[in-house]
Amino acid sequence: MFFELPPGLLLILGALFLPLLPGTWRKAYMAFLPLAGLWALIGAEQGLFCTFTLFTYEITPVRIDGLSVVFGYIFHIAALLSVIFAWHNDDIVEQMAGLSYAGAGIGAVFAGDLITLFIYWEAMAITSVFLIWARRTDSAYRAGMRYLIIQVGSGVLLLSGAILIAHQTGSIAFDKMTLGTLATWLILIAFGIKCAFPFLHNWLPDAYPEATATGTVFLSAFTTKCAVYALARGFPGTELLIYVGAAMAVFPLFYAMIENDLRRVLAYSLNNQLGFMVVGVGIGSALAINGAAAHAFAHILYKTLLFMAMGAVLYRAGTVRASELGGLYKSMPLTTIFCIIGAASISTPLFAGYVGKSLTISAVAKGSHEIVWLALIFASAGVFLVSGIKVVYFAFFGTDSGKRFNEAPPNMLIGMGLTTLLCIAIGVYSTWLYNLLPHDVDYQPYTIDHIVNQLQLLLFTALAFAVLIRFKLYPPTISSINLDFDITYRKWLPAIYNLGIRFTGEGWKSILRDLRKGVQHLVAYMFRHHGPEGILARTWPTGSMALWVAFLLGGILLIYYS
Amino acid sequence: MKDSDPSTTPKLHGKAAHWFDYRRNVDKVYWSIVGMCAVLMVVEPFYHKHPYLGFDGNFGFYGWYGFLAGIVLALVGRQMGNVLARSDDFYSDAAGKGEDHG
Repeated sequence: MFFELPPGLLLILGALFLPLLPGTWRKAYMAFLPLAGLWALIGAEQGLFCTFTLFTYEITPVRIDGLSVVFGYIFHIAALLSVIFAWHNDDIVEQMAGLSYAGAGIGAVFAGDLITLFIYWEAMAITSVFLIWARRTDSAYRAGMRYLIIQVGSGVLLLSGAILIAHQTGSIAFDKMTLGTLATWLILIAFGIKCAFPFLHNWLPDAYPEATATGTVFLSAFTTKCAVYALARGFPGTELLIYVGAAMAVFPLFYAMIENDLRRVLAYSLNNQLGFMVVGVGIGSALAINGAAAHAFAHILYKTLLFMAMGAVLYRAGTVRASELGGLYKSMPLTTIFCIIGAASISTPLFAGYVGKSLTISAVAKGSHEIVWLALIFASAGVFLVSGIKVVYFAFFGTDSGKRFNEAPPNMLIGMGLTTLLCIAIGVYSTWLYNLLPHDVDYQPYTIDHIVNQLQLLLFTALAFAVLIRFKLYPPTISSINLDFDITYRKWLPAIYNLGIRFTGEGWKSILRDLRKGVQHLVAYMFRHHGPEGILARTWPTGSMALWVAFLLGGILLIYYS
Repeated sequence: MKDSDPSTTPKLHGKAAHWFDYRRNVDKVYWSIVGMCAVLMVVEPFYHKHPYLGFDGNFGFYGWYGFLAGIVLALVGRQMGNVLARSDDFYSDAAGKGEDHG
């Protein structure tokens, strides 16, 4: 540990000093922090650190083991790459948010107990929302608000589950759990929200495309992969996750297919890739957990690269709508090359995604889950089509929009270049990644049949795209909103609420109106009969009234004393 | 090839046309994808397969499955778009109304 600080806390505390530093020094310092954290982690021993007791509960802020360290490495690398990509950006809010968000993500994967995890879990939510708000548009503000409510809600569920577990077991250690109690279900749903399970996923394609050009690069790396880590730690071998993951791998692809905003396309395909990791966690074998971790590692790199390329386009063109782009390869050739490598890195042999994803798919096949395996192969083909070919084609090739922009700034190119190098290095020398994985691996991704089969899958998918474009069958790129499950809380629930308010408001008004009418009728009735002109007032019996009152009082006295 | 006719060469925005501005070059890319796919099918009998689940050992399984996946995705996506697409201000309308109530 660096200066005896827990991993992650170095970045969070370090971010507090950013406003004190002048421009270039601040940026150098921002790059230094993840580098220092990574350096410290490389030399770190495995074990539990900084433990202390709080109200009879053992708090473990740092647990370094095979599973946490692989996520720790890639989170530091992603933080460094994102800082370099955002080097040109002088927005202090974004700088502080990006660094402390990365720190919170790193802290979360090293948390050894549920309370520490909860603190970092919420810290991630609170710091990351500023990366969305830093866009400073009305839609970013609204999306950020929705994002924050959902993310904080996930933390509340996690805390509720942790309290219940503490009550039931007397321990808050974050270890493998078995589904079955309310506590474990609450925690699974909390993880599921951040992992973008089906029906809990809308915050992801809603908020990520609304963040700044550089903010989305940070966002794409940490929250969702932290949730994958949490699932791998807490719920390995939970069969339900196999089917949840398979559904996640398939359905977002259809949205990615028709979506016009290319960063939203990437957000949906990010959701789809999480599905592979969740399936791996659900299978829970050593090979599958290795697959989930390796895929998370590789996925962070290539998805970061793709979001960087789209960030560069957004930075220069001011838009990433497919309907407004096209032909950018002419003016942004380097960004084009990096984006193509990002697309290739999804699952092409010799690139990072191939060596990561192969483990999970093999684990699924060895578990004889035929339908899930077919779903994952479909998803492999689909994600290459939407996240790879579609994004590259519509942004950089396709119909020339006639727009010409300057190439991305040098720091963006360096950030993309370094990420590209890592994507290729891991793809070519897979041993380096496999050695980092939590379990010993005896897996060879580069066999003749595996390479040929993968190339068949990808090239025939490319052929399908080419045929669709040639025969004008590809869904048209139209600027639109595609309804997703978020319509429930963005449209229907507010509508039901408003209807309810109107109904109860109208109902209350009519009750009051009826009451008022009733009282008026009663008063009118009494007046008619007992008023000065009333039928009962004709004789005006004041004397007899006094007699009756005296009679009644006498009666009461008699009853009282009897 | 009729696409090589200079009269169809795009002169985009008064600037020199690039490689992909020529239809014949786009065709070259298209046919080279077709060619590579054909090669990958031709090599099928010449390598030893290790099918995981049995049916994945069928001739060219990954090829036709990938092709089918792409086509299905596009055609279903197209229909989905018809049903689910709304105008860009679909949610901002709701937000506006919400504010009025507030």
